[in-house]
Amino acid sequence: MRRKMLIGSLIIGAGLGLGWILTGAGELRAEEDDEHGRRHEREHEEEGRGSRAPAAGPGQDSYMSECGSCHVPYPPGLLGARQWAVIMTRLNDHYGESATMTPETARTLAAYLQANAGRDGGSGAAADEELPRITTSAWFRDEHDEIGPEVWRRESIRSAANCGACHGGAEQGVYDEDGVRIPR
Amino acid sequence: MKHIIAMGFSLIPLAAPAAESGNDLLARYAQQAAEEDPAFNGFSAERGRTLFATEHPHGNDPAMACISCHTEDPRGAGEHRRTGKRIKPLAPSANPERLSNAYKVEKWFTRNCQDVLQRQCTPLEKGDVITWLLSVK
Ligand code: HEC
Ligand code: HEC
Ligand code: HEC
Repeated sequence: MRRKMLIGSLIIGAGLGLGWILTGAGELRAEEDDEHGRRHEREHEEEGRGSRAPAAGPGQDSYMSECGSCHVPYPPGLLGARQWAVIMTRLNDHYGESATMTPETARTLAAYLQANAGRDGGSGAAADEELPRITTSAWFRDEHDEIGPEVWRRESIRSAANCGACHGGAEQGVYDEDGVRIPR
Repeated sequence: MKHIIAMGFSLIPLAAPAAESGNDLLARYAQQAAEEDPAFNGFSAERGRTLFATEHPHGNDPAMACISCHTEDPRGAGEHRRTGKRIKPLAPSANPERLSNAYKVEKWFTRNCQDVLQRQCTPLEKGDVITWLLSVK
């Protein structure tokens, strides 16, 4: 399934990427079985351990600067195509902040994310009001289960979405264990 | 609403050239300010500094201001108030890349004014802020 989707979105490619989002074709994938999804994610993770650098290709530069200006450029593989599509249609109210940009830039970024997306996770975008998050996904909670609530709240960390506070290579998409240091 | 519409259009003339100086920007904001208010008689660094530091409480945020992410001294690096991401200094004297790309400046005014003031900044306000940022040496 994942493979099919990946190939599908690669073929659809940059130009049609937006059509894919606007028609809501991505919604069809929403029904996926969660357990199944998570198992695949695990395998995927084992392969790609450490480096999740946003992939080279059309849109990469734009992604690193546009989506890396307020926070680190999150690895596109950490959310699914459907989830990115939701995020990209709500840039004027992006987690409570305005991230508006020209339609052309948004289109380039949406196509880039579609081409490099991972699998749609079971969590996030639960309520209509809420945008999907990497930090609420099951694998994220698993990977970070040793970190207590008081740690997340530290002034030096502020938010689980502040990957760079602990992962020294987050700006480049590197999340290997060697680069992890939890600040005081 | 009027401002939002005006903003939408002002993106177009501002979008074209890449490298330019803060003074080119000022000239264009001055033109727009004069169109909005015939009594316009120049920008003020002091007004710009005040706008930057003034808190605009709203909703869940009692102290929202430009300096929530940038710093009171624009020669210093700021930090995004929610994500913690480092933000390079805004004053061109400390960071020559700043105010060199009209499209980028306009993009950030559009976002940041919306978040802080819950409306778009006027050409007068934008010109004041830029005048102040350019004046800090
Ligand atoms: C104007 C600033 C800004 C820009 C530009 C921006 N973001 Fe965000 N983003 C935020 C804020 C603020 C949050 C919420 C952070 C938090 O909750 O700690 C966020 C959160 C996110 C999250 C959820 C992180 C989590 O908790 O898992 C994702 C995914 C995301 N952004 C993707 C993007 C993408 C893709 C782009 C480019 C199209 C982008 N952002 C551009 C400000 C921005
Ligand atoms: C409070 C510090 C902290 C923050 C913030 C944080 N992480 Fe982590 N992360 C860790 C720790 C600790 C580990 C476990 C390292 C280990 O395996 O020993 C980890 C593990 C990981 C792993 C698995 C790495 C591997 O090779 O096993 C990934 C991927 C990851 N984090 C991604 C993220 C992303 C993406 C973000 C931001 C959305 C983030 N982390 C935010 C501390 C953090
Ligand atoms: C929520 C955080 C936040 C707030 C609040 C904020 N800014 Fe920003 N601002 C940013 C970020 C992030 C950038 C882009 C940083 C970068 O390019 O490295 C930026 C960039 C800018 C720039 C771009 C300058 C250039 O040439 O690159 C200007 C001008 C600016 N902000 C003005 C303001 C003003 C005026 C306010 C208050 C109305 C304000 N900001 C409030 C986060 C914020």
